Amino acid sequence: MNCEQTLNNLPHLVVAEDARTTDAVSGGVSRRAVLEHLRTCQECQREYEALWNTASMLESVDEPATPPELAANIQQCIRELHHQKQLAFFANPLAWCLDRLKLDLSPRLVNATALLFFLVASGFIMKLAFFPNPQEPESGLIAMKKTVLQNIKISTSPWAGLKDVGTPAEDGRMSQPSVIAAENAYNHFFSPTSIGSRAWHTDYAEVNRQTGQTSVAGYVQDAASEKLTVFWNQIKTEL
Amino acid sequence: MIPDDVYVHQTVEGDAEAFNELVNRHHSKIYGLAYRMLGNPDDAADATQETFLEAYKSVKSFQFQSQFGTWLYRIGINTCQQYIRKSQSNERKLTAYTREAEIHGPASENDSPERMLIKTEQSEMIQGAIDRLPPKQREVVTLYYMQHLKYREIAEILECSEGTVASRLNQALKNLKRKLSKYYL
Repeated sequence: MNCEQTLNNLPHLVVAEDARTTDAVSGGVSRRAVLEHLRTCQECQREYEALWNTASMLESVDEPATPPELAANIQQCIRELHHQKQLAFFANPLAWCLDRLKLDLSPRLVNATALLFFLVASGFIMKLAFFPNPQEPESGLIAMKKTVLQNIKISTSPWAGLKDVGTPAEDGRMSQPSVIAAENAYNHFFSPTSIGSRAWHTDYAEVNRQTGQTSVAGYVQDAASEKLTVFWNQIKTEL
Repeated sequence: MIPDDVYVHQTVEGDAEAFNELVNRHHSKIYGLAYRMLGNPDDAADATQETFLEAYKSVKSFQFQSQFGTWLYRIGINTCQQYIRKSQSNERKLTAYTREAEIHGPASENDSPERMLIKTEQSEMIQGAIDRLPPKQREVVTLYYMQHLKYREIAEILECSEGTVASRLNQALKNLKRKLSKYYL
């Protein structure tokens, strides 16, 4: 047994919890042989004592005093976590609001309230989506072909320029036969007349003399193809 | 005394107060572990709290194959390892005597002021030396010398062999001897 072997095995000798009951130290080196060497080698003995003192110091260290409020703090956190776990996922926003308001309600009550809220809200949305309010029948052109007009794609009419060729009546409305003509189109096409298979109708025509603006609404329907052409102001749409 | 396992069963069934009884039983040990691992009381208290919260969240995964305390130690070690990785504890090291005195509570009637001072200095020096150990050696030193666990229990907590525990402990002792030799020579 030399010093190197002894020094390598000294920690085992100091810390081995079964050192007193077993002879083996480590790596096949006998505890008795290590002790034998220690009796004859002062340098190794000092090393052994240093290790022993270190171990003794570690064992003598007192447990740190636990902060008195630590257990209570942890327990409070556990209660809050437990409370949180009892809440349904959909109740979290409501629980957050109640927490802000410092209202401490039981999780069951919060869950029930949140569930009721979501049921009412869902019912309201369903009603809006699938059971819309019946609307008042609208007058004029839209009312006449409402279901068709919902699919209208509006484009600018080529009959963009409208000109007043008639004489206004006393109420400002133009008399239909001579109200409006459109450039690049049939003359007087807003007049109630028939050209071949086409029937022309004018629902509404008005010229504001002060502003110079013209408002027109009308439609023409091809009797053969049932194609409907709608005019509203300067917009033309074919249906 | 009611075994821990009974409280664990009650906790699994939804009784938070049963778990709080386990907090009462084990919080000092976990705090001691965290304090020695992290080196300051603030981090130790935070880590202790996190350990118990994590244990409560995952209590259903406890298989009753080991003791609850061992399982809790394992969570505590993992929590402390996370803290060490964050390296926040180094910035909050405890050095002041007053702070140390605060940790160790009021002086015992049997301890003279001189004795208290010596104990405080010694404790501070040992803690400083432990802090400078590699984390794996720090774990075994804490569990063996401060928590007084056996090799078998430490091996179970750290999920390694008893030989590994012995090897780390021997290496740690050599390192500590170098760091502490000035104090007792």
